[in-house]
Amino acid sequence: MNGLIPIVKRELLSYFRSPVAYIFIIIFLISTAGATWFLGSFYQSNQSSLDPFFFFHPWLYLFLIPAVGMRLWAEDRRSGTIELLLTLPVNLLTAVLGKFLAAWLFVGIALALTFPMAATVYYLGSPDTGLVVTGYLGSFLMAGSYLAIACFTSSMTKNQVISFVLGFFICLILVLLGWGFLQALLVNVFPVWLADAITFFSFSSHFEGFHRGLIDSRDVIYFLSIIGFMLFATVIVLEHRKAS
Amino acid sequence: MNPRSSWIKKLLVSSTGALLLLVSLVALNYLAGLVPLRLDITEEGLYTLSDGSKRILSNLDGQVTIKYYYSESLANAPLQVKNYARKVRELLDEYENAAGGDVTLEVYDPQPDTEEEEWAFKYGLQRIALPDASNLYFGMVVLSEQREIAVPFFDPRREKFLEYDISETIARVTAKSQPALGILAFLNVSGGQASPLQPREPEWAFMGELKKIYKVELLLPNLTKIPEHIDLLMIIHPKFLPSNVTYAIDQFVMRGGRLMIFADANARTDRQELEKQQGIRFTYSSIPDLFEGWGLVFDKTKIVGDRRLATRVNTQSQGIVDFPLWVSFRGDRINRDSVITSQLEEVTFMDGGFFEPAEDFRYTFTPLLTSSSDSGTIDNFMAQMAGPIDISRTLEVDGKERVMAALITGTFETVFPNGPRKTQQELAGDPGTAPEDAAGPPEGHLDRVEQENSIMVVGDADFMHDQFSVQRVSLFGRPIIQPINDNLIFLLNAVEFMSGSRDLIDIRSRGTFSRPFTTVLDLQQAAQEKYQQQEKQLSDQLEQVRERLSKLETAQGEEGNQRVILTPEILAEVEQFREEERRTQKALREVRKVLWQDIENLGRTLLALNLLAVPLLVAIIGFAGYYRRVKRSGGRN
Repeated sequence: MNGLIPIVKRELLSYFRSPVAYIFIIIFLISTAGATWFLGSFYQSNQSSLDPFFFFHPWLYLFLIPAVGMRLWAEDRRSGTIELLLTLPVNLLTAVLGKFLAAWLFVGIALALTFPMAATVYYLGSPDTGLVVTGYLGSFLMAGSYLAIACFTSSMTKNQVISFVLGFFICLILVLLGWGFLQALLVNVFPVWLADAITFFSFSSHFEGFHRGLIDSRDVIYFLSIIGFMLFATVIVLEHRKAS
Repeated sequence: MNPRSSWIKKLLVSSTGALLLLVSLVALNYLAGLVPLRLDITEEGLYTLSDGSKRILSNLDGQVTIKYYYSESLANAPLQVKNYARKVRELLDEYENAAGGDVTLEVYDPQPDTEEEEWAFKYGLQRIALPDASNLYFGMVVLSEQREIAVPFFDPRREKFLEYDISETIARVTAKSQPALGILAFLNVSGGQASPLQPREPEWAFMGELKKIYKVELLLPNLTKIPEHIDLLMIIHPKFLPSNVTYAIDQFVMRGGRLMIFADANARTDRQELEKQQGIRFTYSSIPDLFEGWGLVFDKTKIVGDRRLATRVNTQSQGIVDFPLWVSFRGDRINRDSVITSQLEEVTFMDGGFFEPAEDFRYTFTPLLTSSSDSGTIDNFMAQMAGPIDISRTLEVDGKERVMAALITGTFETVFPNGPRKTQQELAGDPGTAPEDAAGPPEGHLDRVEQENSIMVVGDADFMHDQFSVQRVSLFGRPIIQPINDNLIFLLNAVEFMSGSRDLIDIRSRGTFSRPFTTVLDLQQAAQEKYQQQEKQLSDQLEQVRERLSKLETAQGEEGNQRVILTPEILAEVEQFREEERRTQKALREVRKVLWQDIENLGRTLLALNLLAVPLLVAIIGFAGYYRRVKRSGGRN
């Protein structure tokens, strides 16, 4: 893991050298606030809770996170800098992890910049601080999982658009798995235990606990294991490429 | 590169490796599911077994078996039920763990036409038919050596009370005997027809809830003695109690019985009075002899109004009004140190009265629900005659806080040292007797209690009516009661506290009904006050104009041969009156608009801040960085 921190630092700083990063943050902030106030009717709800805010995160991340992740490797593959990277003395795993962590931190910064929402509920009433903390924690972990998937799809192609679309669809499926209608469909096709096992892997049901102020080991392990799995898969894809 | 690591790499790159990884992902999550660890960081510890439950479990003597039935293998169970079933199962596991061997949990998945299904049915569990004709079971039965009690169906909407429901069932199953609760009610609490002119009413919801835990006995108002086996006596809306009943109540307290009195300054649910179309309605109630004897002041004709705790009501004639006579206690107006009220969020009283310790009061007086200092009183008569807006306008606030529910504790002494006192009516028929009980106390009379005792006094009875406390909904065709505020819980907590089983109190009413925007509420309050003041001013102005007009008319009439002649002077005055009326009405409209403006403005400001402030800042920083880089690179070139 030598060289991890320099990679993270370099990648993170490189984000802020391009205007795209700022535009991303602005879109992220406006869409989360907009969804909360207009779709979630936050002010009309008269409840000092960030529920309408977090409720839209799984859906907003569908568009936003694959957009961050799509350039992680696809860009390097297109421009050929990947060859350079693969010949560097750092371990491939370290490189993957470094790029991922930098992107995750970047998303974390964007998430942290939604602090006016939290300030608003504290100004308007007295929310349950536990719920606010777990909400943000859960949202950050979930964003990490989306990002790991985007990282994986990015490593498979040179084309950023393809990477985005692929990432979007994998995440969409994982969100929809928690949706009753899809679950009913699955039950018709598979035996109940398998259908239940499949629906277990939905983002929404694991995010729900955080919504309610619970940090459940199963939810944390779920998100971390998705991140781990997807990053390993990325390493495999890149390794495969290197070998061929 | 050493051969070992290259072998690993080869494996990883192969499809076998990918599959292996997928399997390990599933396995890891499966294993994590076996040892769930949960950290509950909600402020109220919503998901942790509370001390009350733990105490109940540690005091168990004898084995308790919980049989949990859930049709897990059923494909089409609603997702909501599936998720809830998981939570119920987890909580039951926690009970088993916390009980240290005294509780055994058995889990069943009843399949159609099996012995298990038959048992589930026998235990009285609810069989819920799903659209695809399969049957869902989702309930439990708790068994002890003494008895068995079933929870026929775990309603997902009672999630907040899940722990209470489970603990209560365990407590009931192991209880040696049920406390006996006597109810002496002058309202139609047990349902049916209050009088021939009234429609049939269902039994009030609180009665059903009480019957789950207590042996409830309705007492008749003509009793001379409270039956020996009654542990707790609830007196609801005591209207004109005869002296022998009052004496019986006093003696009940003397023998250590627990007493709760729900008097009222204006009982809106007093059906017998409601049907009287004219004349004075006696909608108030009190037990003056007892209250005075204990040193309490309670004026049954004075209704408390509170501007700060006013309840928003939708009146048919006057639209939405913040009605001060319906007092919604919340925050620090609810005693946070009493086990009865510590966890309540909002309790609403309708036209209630208040208690004050008199100068000679010698027991301990613990307020449970207290009005704010923005309160005053209105006469019962006025409340019956005037509309909500008039009442709201005339209420004069005097800065005094008023206690509307309280607990009195002490070693009580009898109020009737010489036996039952005769009322004026009884005396009228028997002129020979002196007003004060010359006969002396009857046999078996008790002068004081042996141990410290508690009496609860409440200044309202309407709050326990269904209309003001619950909502009846139907789930899978089965009626279910949902609280709309904490009124029912306040009552149940109080009964529980008074009847002595205090462990359950710690569990009940967890979870938060609502955390409203207090800032917005304050704005509303301030605007409403301003509006009311201004409205009063404007109405007074109108009144003055009218008075002037009528004076003018009278003067004209006297001078002009008893005839009102429309002189130009009067016409001008009338015109001025109309003009003023128009202006006043316009001003009123403006004031009403302003009432909402502040709140809307706050919303708009916050929205703008959330939507634009940080994005703008980010844009500026981005531009600044870009500009600096361009400049730097420009300088270099």
